[in-house]
Amino acid sequence: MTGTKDSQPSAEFKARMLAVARTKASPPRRVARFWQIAMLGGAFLIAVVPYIVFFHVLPDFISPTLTGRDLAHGLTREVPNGLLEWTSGGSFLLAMIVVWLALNRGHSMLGRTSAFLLSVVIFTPVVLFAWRYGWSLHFDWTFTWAGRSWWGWKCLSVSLATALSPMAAFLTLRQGSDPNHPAATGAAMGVSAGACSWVLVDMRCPVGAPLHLLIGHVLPIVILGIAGAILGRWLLAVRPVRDPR
Amino acid sequence: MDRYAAGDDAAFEEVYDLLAPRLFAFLQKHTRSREKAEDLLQHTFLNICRARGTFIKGAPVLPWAFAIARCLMIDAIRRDRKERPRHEDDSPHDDPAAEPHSHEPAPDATLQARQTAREIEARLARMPDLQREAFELVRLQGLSNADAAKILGTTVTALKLRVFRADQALGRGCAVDPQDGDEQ
Repeated sequence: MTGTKDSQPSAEFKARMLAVARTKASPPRRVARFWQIAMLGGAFLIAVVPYIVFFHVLPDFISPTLTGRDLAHGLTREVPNGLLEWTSGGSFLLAMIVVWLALNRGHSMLGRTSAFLLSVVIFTPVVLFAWRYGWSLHFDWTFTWAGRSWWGWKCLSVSLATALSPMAAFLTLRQGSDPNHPAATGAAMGVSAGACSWVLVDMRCPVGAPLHLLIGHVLPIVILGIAGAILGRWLLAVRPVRDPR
Repeated sequence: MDRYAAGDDAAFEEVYDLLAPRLFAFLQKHTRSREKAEDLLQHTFLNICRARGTFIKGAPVLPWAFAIARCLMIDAIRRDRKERPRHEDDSPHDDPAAEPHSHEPAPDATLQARQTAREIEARLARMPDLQREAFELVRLQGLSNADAAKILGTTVTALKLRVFRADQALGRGCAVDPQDGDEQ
């Protein structure tokens, strides 16, 4: 590399950059981490609100909320003991793994490769569906449904509503940080928010019919992945920072 | 960068001194304008300052800074192309970073070196973007294959193949087969 003056920025430029770094830099790591945790905590608290509204305050909104022992809404028999606990417990662990894989950048500020992130996006709904359907099969519960809940519109609505605030938090915290594959990162964030909402809905939804699972539980994750890709391309991409002068 | 991220504002000058010359040379080569290169460099450092709080401890800074600079540069070049008619695109021979013309007759060796450099520039301009970028990062900027692969968002194997093909296109005698070990 040549060391001539023409190949170096000017001294005035350096002075300007050092002044900007002193006066306009972002907070250091310790302070930033506090606000990150606060934002994520707040986002997950907000996410619980639609869950409470749709399943407790307005239990019959969109379609009836099914309970473990409720036979009044068209269930052919009682929901087996342990079904909800096993499925939601397992999906909680899977969701935590997905969140870690999607959001953890490893040891590089450039994050994981796009192939890795796209694998997370594709396999997350598959694995969650397999887990839920597998346990429903184990309890012989895959073909029992309950009237208006069969299509899964309520689960779809609650899943999307509860995933909005975590997804917004993920995108906000990493805004302008991905120079290589912002769409793939955004899709992974959308899918991980969807995985978190899957856990919440799983705690209340006993229906094991495959079509209900695909529409009410898998489809929201797909929608969130697509939305995440679109928003990620816009929000996560590196852009010129407004001149602080 | 770790110290800067932890709160030591004075550490930024060290970060600047290490990164600025390399990034500036990279940007100037592609933008062919000192002013544009400085503008892009400023935005690169502003992005680095903004990411201070989220900087991962121990993460390599060079590939990250190059990736930011490259991303901003590509966006700027695309914006310029949209604003300018195509026939105004610079030819590879209009390189403002080249030595200024002298009224003294140049020695034959210097003249030949300039012609060779122009020929290489012309071949680079004709090369597919992927190969050219890989070649520039590894051969001209001296980055390792791993760092260059991270900047370009690809695997090391794919990067080595691109560099190998770029070497072949330039007719270099020392082209390294990508099946062999790393060459930096």
